[in-house]
Amino acid sequence: MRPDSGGRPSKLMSEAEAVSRFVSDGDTVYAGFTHLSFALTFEIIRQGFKNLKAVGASNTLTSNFLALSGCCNRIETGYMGGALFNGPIGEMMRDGRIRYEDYSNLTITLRLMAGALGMPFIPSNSFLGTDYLTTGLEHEFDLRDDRIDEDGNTHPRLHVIDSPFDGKPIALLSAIQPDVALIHVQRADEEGNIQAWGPLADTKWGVAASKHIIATAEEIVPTSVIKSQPELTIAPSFRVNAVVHAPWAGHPGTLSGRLARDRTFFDLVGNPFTSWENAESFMADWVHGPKNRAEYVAQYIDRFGEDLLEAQRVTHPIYPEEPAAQGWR
Amino acid sequence: MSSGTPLVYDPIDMMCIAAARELQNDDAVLVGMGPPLLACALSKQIHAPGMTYVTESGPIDWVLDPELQAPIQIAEAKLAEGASMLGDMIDALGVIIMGGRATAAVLQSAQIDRLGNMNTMVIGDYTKFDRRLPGTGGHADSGASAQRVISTVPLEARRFKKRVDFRTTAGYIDGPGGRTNAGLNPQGPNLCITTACVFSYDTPDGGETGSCEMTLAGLFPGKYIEDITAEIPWALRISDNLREIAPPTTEELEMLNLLDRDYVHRTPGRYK
Repeated sequence: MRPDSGGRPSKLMSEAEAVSRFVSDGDTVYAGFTHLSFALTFEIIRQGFKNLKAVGASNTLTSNFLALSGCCNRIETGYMGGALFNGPIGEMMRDGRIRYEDYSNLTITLRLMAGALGMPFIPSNSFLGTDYLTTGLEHEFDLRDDRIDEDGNTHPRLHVIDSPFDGKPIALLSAIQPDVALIHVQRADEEGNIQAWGPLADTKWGVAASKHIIATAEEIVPTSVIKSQPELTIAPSFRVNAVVHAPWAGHPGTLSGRLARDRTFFDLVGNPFTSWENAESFMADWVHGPKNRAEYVAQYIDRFGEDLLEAQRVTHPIYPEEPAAQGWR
Repeated sequence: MSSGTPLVYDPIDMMCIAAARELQNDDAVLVGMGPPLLACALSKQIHAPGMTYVTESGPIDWVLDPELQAPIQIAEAKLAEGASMLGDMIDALGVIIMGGRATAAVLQSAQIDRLGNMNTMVIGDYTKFDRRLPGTGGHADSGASAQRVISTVPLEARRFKKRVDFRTTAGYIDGPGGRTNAGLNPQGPNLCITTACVFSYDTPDGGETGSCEMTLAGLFPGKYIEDITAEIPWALRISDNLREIAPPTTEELEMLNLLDRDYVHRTPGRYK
């Protein structure tokens, strides 16, 4: 057994406690591209938070649920996934119920990286020569109110300068430090070390940039397991505020090595992003019905059977052929 | 399929196949969703096995699963299987794309203009839109920095615009020197591959000189110049070396249909 640090209180709690303690109205929430925690998202909706802002490289299902439920009215992202369905999300963007600023997958990740590093801005060439610098820069539904500082000055979204080093134009993007990151990880320990793997997209930077981190985990493991593969840890325990043991918290999404994407679920229950009718029925049935993820899983099994649920479990995980040993003696 | 039977294929099949033929064994390619992903998968199976896929969520140099079913989304855990490197968005879109190390990007666009500028954001006015699209994902990032860009756009008049509704992604911007003036590197030879033809751009040096205009360079089998100009709202340049693109081979078409057996990549709006 590898030694524990010891002396650290457990951060294990229910999703209800984690959300009520570490989310507040008006927060900027990082709900990312991979490692989506539907359990935390649905708990935020149940607790009825208001005026949240969702950030993430791509605005995927969890942040779309926050918008659909009315908890979130502001979005900064590179990809409005909910607009794909030409339903309620697009409608709310058109009438201003959702205010938004468009970025790209890389530029949001870079802004999170700047936030993680504690720097005020980061350069990028992604938007040079595009309408992000003209039409998209300021518009009737933009987030200028969020960019007013204590002295009443409104800061720009981005700023193009001539680089002091080569004289070429370059865009400076402002840093993002979300108030809270929501994440579902493969495993964690009680003291709050969280381990995540698979395609990570912007996840590591979204977590690193956030002031608070709350994680659901498929599995709670002893700290010795964490320390046996420390390279998988994406945030050490001192950075993490709450860990919730919630198997299937990533359903109907995917989680490398654990959960396959459930491609039948929205067909079975009615895709909530295609109509308000579907949205309301989904919210009543799957968000407000079960009071936590365990009840959600029980409801799924009750409706569709354990076999269908188990069919969403990864059955061919990849194991290293020659595990890379670390050591020094 | 016996050798004497004429191959049956759709225009979008030929678009994917023509795009696949443009990729080489030594390419490191940023792969966009939809037909580009299918085109790259096809290329790797048919003639460019050494090609390196770069996927923005982090899997780099992945291979297809043993059943040869092309992945659907760019954040799928499935992409980690057979990857030589599993990084994140900074590794893929940062180091490889913005760092200028991707030799190509294959990107699907809703609209494109005569200078290769692309739109994936919105149809109509930016806020009072007719149809809001998801937005750019890694499109803008890739268009800014990949060494060459191959865009796939079905040949329909509504997609070929004098001015795209929102310029998400820089092509040659406002003409010769546009990219350099904006702060970007020259880029090319860029291509736009449609459901009826292949366009190149009139610039010998990636946007420094020439008109930088979209130029009809190749016709798909059975297509005439008039079929193309009918869909293009400007006086289209036509290459002096206009060529006829070879029809799909049996091998290409069978592999395409295997990779996309559920017809997900070739049907708009089928992503779940």
